[in-house]
Amino acid sequence: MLAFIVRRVLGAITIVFLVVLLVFTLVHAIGDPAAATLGPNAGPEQLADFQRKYGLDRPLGQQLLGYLGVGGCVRGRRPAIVEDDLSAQLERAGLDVARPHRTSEESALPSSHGEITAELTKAGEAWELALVATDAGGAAQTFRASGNVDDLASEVAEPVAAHLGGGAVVVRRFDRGDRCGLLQGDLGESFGHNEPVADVIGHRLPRTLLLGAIALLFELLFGLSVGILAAVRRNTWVDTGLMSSAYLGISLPTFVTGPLFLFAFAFLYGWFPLGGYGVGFWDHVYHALLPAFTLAIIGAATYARIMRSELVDTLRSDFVRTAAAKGLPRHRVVGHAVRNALLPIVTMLGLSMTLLVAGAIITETIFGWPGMGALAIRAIVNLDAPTVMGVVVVFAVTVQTGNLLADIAVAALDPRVRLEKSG
Amino acid sequence: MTTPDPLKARRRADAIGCLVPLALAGAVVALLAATWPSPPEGPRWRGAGDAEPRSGGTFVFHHEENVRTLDPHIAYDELSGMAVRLMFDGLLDYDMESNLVPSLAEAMPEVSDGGKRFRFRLRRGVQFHPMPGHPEGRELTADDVRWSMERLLSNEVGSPGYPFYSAIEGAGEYHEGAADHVAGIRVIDRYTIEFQLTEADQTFLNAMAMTFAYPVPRENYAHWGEEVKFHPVGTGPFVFESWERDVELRFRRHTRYWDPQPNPDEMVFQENLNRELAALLFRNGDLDAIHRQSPSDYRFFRDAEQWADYRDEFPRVSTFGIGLNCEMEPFDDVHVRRAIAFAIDREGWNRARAGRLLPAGQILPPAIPGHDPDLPEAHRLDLDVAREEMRLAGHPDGLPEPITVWITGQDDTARTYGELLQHDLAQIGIEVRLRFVSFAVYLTESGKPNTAPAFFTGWNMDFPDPSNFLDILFHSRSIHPENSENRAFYRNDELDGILDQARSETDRERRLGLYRQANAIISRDAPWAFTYNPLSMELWQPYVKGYEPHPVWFEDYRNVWLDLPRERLTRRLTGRGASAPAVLFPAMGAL
Repeated sequence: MLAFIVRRVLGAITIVFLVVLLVFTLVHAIGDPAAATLGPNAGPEQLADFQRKYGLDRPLGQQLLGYLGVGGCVRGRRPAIVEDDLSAQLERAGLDVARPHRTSEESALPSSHGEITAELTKAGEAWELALVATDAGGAAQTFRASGNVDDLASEVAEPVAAHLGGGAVVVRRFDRGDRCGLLQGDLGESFGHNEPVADVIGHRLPRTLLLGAIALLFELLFGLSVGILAAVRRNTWVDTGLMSSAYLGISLPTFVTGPLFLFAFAFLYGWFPLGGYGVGFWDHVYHALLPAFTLAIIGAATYARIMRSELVDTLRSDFVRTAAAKGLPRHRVVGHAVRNALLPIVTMLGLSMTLLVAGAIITETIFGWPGMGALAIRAIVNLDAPTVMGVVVVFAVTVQTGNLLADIAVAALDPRVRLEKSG
Repeated sequence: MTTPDPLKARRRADAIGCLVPLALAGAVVALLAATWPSPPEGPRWRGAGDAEPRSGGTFVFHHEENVRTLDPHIAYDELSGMAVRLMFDGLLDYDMESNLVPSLAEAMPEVSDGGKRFRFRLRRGVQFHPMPGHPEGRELTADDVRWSMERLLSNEVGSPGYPFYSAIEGAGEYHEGAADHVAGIRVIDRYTIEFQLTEADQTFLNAMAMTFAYPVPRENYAHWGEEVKFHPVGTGPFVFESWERDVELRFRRHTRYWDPQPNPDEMVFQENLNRELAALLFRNGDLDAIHRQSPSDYRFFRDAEQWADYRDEFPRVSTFGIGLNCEMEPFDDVHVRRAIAFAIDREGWNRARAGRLLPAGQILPPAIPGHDPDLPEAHRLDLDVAREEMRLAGHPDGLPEPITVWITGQDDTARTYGELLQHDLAQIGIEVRLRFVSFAVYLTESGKPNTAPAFFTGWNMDFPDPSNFLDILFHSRSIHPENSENRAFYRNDELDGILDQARSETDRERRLGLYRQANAIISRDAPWAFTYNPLSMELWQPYVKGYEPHPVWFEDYRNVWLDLPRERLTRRLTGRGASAPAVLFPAMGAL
């Protein structure tokens, strides 16, 4: 069992990583985020400033490594400012500052030079700077400063200049020391919102999860009951009727049913709120009912069809016939059969995550539900690369976790699965 | 006795079963048809009929995008501006005729030193909202204005407004970090502040009326640090209360506002609310004002007689057109450009858009001084002129090669415009190939020389002055190796001279005369073939008073008051109070 879980976890991580690679390349290949963020009224200096601040002027490979947090980060705005300030002040103190890590130019460095590596950490509201300056002779000294981000550079500039003595100095690294890069769980800073992607997503993820949970509840409730009823009454008009209704359900895309339901049940009849999110938990649930129902139709129909076919098979199996022959009441026989037929439903639950996440993008937009879906669309339109990446990573992890849990559950419930897979 | 044939039974079951969804659908449709409430055409509510303006109530408005920040130094998008305008004031503002008027300043500034020095006197007794350390708020002083301007100009904040103020003496050094203060900003006394520019520039007054220059209190920024964008404090008529991210912002009336006026007690700004939903909420009376409609909602509101008194339609201060790259063939020939300008059937475009466009033949929109309604050079549909220009260009039978026009947006509207252009230019023998690109790609690529030959383009004003159109879009100074604002790559020394002269001219009439001249040159040389100024429609509820779309700020709700209590005009057939069975079975309700 353990080996099975480990193998599945490794597989999931690989898939998430491949998704990150692919989407990162795509997002950064399709246009200039600076232009998209600042709009047509921005001048050339502003665009250049923006690109420099977010590290967009570096080669794509370096940007990717930075995003992952390998060998220096894609710097958010603030750390770049400290570095710029410090360089400016050192230059004013008579030093010749080179910053090859910013420009990826190694050329034209004088043979004898000092070096600086620095790390910025955010501790609560304050920033901390730890800077190691090595002079041309190889003597290293550490300088520390903390407080307002604006004052950090001024605090250390003088002693650093004094230690280095003059001549040329190379800034080797100037990084965020705290959570930096995806590998350390940092999603970077959103271009559009000027705040950490984790915060932007943090507001919205619970909302999407709430909507998804209610939708899943609807799917199971309607799907399973319809499927069981159809199987028990198989080959009668009840069965055919329910199954063809399920067909109808699968054929109705949310972008058709959504606006229709909204207009009829929210605007005309007024049973449900007209989109939005509401204030307070129960109000959120009330607001979620109609979008969740819209989102659940296709899933419910799928569950109904799977449940029916599984249950029909199970009802034909030997143990059911034996139970019936021994005189067990019909509802108890069906009860036993249902439990055995649930196995593929558990697998389906994992896949459901994918469908719910994908469906949420359209449904949330139609119903004005302020979740991940609406965020994803806006971020893509605005080429807000860090947010797009954040959403993709969160979605990928969600889907992989869903599948993983479903697989583990199935393996736990049915020993045959883990035997086959590890055999 | 015959045993029942199982196959036959199965077939019968199938036949009946197939009818079930049909019957189900039929039943639903029948039920809906029987109980379908016809929504009222007009407003559901009307006001109490009080002529006396009064304070009180809650005003609810919306935008379909997300508010990004409440820091006026950063906010550059329309909807952040809508929120900023509620909470902050500038030294200068615009009246309903787009004229600059004093706001936090006592009067318009004294100008001296040949138009390079501006001295503002502040109104006394202007109070900031309550903030950390000042639970009652405190008075605005000249030091606040100076601190705010310096924050705006600093490199660290990265304000997109910086270029508008770079003419202040010492702004560049301060921005680079080479000076501790901006030399050209001088506090004379508690209520007097002076700005020194490096060269005479009349648009500095416009810049001082932009939201970037709205004064903020230093203590609040010191207290909140980076989080200040969620804790705005200004001098405006409304005080920030709360922000449920992506859902709504709430503001309450500022009781110590320097210019007391009747206002709602509370303002609710619903963000992230798409225009289709907003239209439905508005018709229900759940939203007090809307702007921007989907095409079908637009037609509905335009044709609904009962809304006639509560709507306004006006041109936005933007101009759209087809940009023609003057450095690329065949548009390097002025005659080809003019032929295109005179072949576009602007009225036809307007018909295709249900009358939502104002046909345009010049760069300056109607609300901008310098616009000439009778401009002889203005672009219009005249196929004789267009064919004559084609002949002058040496192509009497049309262009031998098709031209490529870049177009942004994948929606039906963009596609419609593209097809209309193809149709119009076919009349003079020009075949158009459309190239669909994303907005970001358009912005980046069309700013590079010799890249985009022709493209759908447009410009929204930053402030209502002709220089904001002419200088930025057509001066040769706006041409760069990358990110040119002059995307047509139009160069004309004569025009450059006129624009430079106008920029420093202090006499209003002479200045306008120069811009009129420049406006005519641009229409004559046609670096863009102008197409339209978009019309915008806004609606408000009958009980909303004191509102008129502002010519500069558009959705500016700071002068609104509510005529309450509102009275129900049409019975809402259903509602949150109505029970479902009563709706489903009206007959039951009647019994």
